[in-house]
Amino acid sequence: MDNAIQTAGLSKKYGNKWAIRGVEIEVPRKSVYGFLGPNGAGKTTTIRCLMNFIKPTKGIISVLGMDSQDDAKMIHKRVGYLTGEMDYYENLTGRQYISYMGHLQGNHDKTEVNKLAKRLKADLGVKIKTLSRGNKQKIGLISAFQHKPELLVLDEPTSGLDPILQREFVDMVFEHKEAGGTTFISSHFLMEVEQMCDMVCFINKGRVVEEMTLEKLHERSIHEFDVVFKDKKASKDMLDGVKGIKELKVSDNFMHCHIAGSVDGFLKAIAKQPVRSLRTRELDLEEIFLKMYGRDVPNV
Amino acid sequence: MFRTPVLKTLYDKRWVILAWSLGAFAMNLLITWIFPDFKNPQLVEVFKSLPESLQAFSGSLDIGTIDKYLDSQVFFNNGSFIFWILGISIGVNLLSTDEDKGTLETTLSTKISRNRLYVEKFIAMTFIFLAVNIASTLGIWLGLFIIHEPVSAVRIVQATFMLFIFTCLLGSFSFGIGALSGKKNLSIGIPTLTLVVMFLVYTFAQTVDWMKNWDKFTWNYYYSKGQTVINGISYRDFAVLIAFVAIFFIAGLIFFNKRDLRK
Repeated sequence: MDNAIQTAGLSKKYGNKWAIRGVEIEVPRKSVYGFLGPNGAGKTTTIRCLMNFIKPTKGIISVLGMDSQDDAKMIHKRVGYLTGEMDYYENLTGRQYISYMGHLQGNHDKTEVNKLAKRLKADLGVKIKTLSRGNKQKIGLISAFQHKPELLVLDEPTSGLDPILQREFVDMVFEHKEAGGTTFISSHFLMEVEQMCDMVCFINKGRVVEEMTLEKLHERSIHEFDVVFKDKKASKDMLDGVKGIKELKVSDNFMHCHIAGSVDGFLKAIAKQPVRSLRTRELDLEEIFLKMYGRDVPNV
Repeated sequence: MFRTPVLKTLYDKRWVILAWSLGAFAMNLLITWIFPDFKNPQLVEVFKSLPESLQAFSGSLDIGTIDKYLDSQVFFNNGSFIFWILGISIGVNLLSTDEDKGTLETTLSTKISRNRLYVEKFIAMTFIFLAVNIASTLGIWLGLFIIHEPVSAVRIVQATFMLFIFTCLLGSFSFGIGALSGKKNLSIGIPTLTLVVMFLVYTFAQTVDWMKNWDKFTWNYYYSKGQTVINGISYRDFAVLIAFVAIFFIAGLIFFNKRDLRK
């Protein structure tokens, strides 16, 4: 089995309710894998099963070729984990926390920690409870990266980070991949993962909806545009021959449009007319599910 | 600075340890210091004339000699009230509170096993109890030194040791329930309820005829009935208390390994 993570029929039930059901994931080694879904979709439950915090009701989990329950200790030694809930020891300083976690991990490298802190512009000298969400996230990231793990399991890793540090984080993930590492990233923001993932997996209501490569995702991703033309009245004819139109509304000189896949044809088509303003936004995952699959995902 | 859960826990609880130790030291110093006022024969007679049920609630009011006084007013009351709170509050805090905050999960994301974390937390708990017990004994000794009352040092150490084991029992009960259930409320509620019931049964058994032998079903019986300062340590009682500590420790460990962590 050459996958960093592989699950088969992974299911978890709380009382009478299935939190996840039949989750099948294959994360190839040396890849960056995005695990996407809206809040409450089952991402964190899946991660907690992978990390052996909770026991699956059914199914098999293999992490780095080992059984997630029987070999949890060996797995954790080789995994860098970032919690999505920011559950840190708030009374410690960042340095104390990272040092403690590093020693528990059996590999605390002060030089590496200082390097990461400098890179992420993290202040390690103050108590964690006084830090903002973004600064807490930096502490968590340093802790996860400090022992140069083979596998990174990151739950909402860029939450709270400013755009410059998000870019730095993406670079760190790429460097980790170049060094032979694997990264498993959970998120409910498509844009967060699409800039670094080789593969993405959509989960909703406890079930895996689809797993796809980034290329396929780009082909099927949907962008929303609001265009205001300078003089000319907008008309549907302007987009004749443009592929991937999912939704189109025009009124006077305003056009609202959803484009699936490449936006090249759309941009070229509207550029033929003078444009006063152009606004685009990322659809959230709920909308993407509806657009991509034409329906909501059924309950588990 | 700290590399293990034991050291981390002791660092986290440093102010708690200091406060409890100072409190226990001062309380026992004061109680021992005022003993001469209770030696008054007339006062002793007044106490003896009180109803047995009232005497039972205070351990015993036959406190005319220093060893009886210490057994009743220091060790019985400490075990029944003060160290209850210590045992349960520390037992709850070390595991259940960490789990409530989510930090238990963060810690267990490292290569540390659940077994090791559990054992280290338990060790830290016993260190805390030991520190507070030692401080409380120092308070007694200082008090005895001030009032010039001779008491066997060995007996004081034995009584302190029994109080330490009793505190460990209360702590391990609370700690074990926390490990077993992951629920903070249960690990406070069940031990508190149990101890109140046991205390009432133990005290009523001293006066209510039909409850005469019920005290044997309470931990208080094995902790305080033997009156360690007067009679020395009872190894049977000690063994019973240690057995309960071991049962709670093992039960907690088994369930902690098998169950889901709460979020």
